[in-house]
Amino acid sequence: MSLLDSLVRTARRRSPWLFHLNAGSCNGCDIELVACLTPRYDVEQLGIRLEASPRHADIIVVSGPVTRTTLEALQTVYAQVPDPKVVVALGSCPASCNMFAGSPTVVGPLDRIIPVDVYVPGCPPRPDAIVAGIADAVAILCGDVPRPEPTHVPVVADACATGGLS
Amino acid sequence: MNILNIITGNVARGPQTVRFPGREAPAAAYRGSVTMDAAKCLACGICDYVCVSRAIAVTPGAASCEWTYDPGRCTYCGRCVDHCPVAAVTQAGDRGDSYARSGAQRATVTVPYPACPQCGRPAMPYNEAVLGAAFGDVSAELRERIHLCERCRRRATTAALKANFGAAAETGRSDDGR
Amino acid sequence: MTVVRGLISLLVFPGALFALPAGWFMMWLQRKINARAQGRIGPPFFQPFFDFVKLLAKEPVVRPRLQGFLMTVLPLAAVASTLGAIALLPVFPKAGGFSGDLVLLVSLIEVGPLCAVLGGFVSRSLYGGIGASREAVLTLAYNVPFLIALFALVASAGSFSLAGVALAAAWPVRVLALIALVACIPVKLHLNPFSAASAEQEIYAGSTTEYDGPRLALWELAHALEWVALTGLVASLAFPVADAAWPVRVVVFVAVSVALVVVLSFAAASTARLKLAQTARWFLLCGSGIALSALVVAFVRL
Repeated sequence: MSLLDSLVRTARRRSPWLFHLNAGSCNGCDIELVACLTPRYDVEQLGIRLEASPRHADIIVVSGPVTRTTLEALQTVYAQVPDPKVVVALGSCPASCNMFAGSPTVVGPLDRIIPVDVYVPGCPPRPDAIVAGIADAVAILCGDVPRPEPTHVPVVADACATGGLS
Repeated sequence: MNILNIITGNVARGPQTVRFPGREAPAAAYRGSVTMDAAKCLACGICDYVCVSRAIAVTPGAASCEWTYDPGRCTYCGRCVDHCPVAAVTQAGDRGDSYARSGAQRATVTVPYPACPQCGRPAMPYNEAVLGAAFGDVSAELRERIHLCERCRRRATTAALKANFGAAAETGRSDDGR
Repeated sequence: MTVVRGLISLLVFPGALFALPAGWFMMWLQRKINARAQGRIGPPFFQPFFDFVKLLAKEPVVRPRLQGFLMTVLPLAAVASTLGAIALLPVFPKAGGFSGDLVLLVSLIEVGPLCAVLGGFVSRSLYGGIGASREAVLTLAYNVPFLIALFALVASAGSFSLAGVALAAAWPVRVLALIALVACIPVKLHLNPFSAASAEQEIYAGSTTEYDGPRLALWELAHALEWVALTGLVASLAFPVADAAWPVRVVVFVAVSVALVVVLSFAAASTARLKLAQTARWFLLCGSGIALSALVVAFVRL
């Protein structure tokens, strides 16, 4: 049993698949995330794959302050990723809404919507910082590091139907 | 068929990848997270004023000033560094590690106000260079007066005015200046 | 004895015990070659194995009963049929083949893409449906040269068994038919330039878009086995070694399979994806042209 457990943990550590969700980002973080796939940084050396479908993913990478129009997609995608899953917030926007804070079209920051496990600093973060942040997320995913307690109670109710969060 | 040249070149040259835990240092001009030197700070609040994303907050208190900075909110634009009159705000060469909790990297620096040499109350910190930029030629009198607290400085200014224009004040006006 | 022999070829060699690691190795080799061609390091050696274990260990999404059943059974059927096709390859047991096993093998190989088409539609995802319909169109397109080429081989050898074809097919026919067969492999394996069926960044993950965890693991398994089955089909038809000593046959089989993986990977790394209509046209014109010329040569030499 413990052998099987350690095999599963190793497999989770060695094969994290990402799903990238743009929650109203300016594209800066998105480009830097794609830069992780380039020959220079090559995340495939860690077994990381950028998956096209949230059903295949282990790690959700969110960039952007959560805008009203992406709120529903964000909640859907979070629910679609099978357990165990980890959320990585890319850059300043998901952490605090950055310069968009207070805008009527922004309902973030991200941890008000879904629980966030790792924040990667930067605006946008450097590709190697993103890879390091994903490595931290992988440690949470395979159980080496305990998951941080959520700061807010995540809002899962249909906030779109009531006209957004206030 | 150019692609075949590229591919065979890539295979022959070997991978260009940096192995994972290793990383290259950022460029020299890289705009990393912001740090502040309390010894140089004038508590003027310009960094707060120019900060686009309100990552920097300057909260004046009675005897000191709180300078708060949240990297999780920063755009790393460098405007605070550009506008700081005394180069107290600088940017590090990197942006630090990932963190687990929103606002976990928020840093607060307390800028103590120096005591007024006359009354001992806290006075706003000043800097010679700024004074020169504001007034051009700085007289010895002005240089002495900038270290005073606001009250004492007002008094000193009033006293100097009185000394200079004492005769005029005695003829036409009452003692309290009206 | 035939039952024991059949079980051995299904479960040991060239079946499950050999085909699973071989399939994972081929997937790793393809990814590694792709990475090296792009100047990257590429995935670690055990990557496909860890991917499979991780997917198995994920919690499956709860589905409506019938849909969940179909979404589990279809990839299982693909795995089983591909494994059956691998077991038919005339590699190890000399008397394993029978007359007509080529027909059975071709039909078993076709079950995988059919299951993928059905699985895409069953998942009721928009992108799954698009991927499934593309898969269906491409299956129709590449099967024309695929079947003509096999028919040319059969006509040249005068036998419907794999071993007979491998022994007796005339060389000009064999070369032309194998070129046509090899050109069909990238479609089945979703490799460039014929990867329109699972075009990433375009229709997400094609027919497997809605598959999660263990169900996706089964598709990955079927994919790994398809690598072995298709390269093995070409490898077992490439040289007339069916009556040689078994070590020779095994060495030839493995060497040709791996060489084929290398060739296909470099072809995939150096080409861009063709559109669906372009792919179909290529197979109906160029692919069929090569296969038909093989057929003509076969009949002329008769």
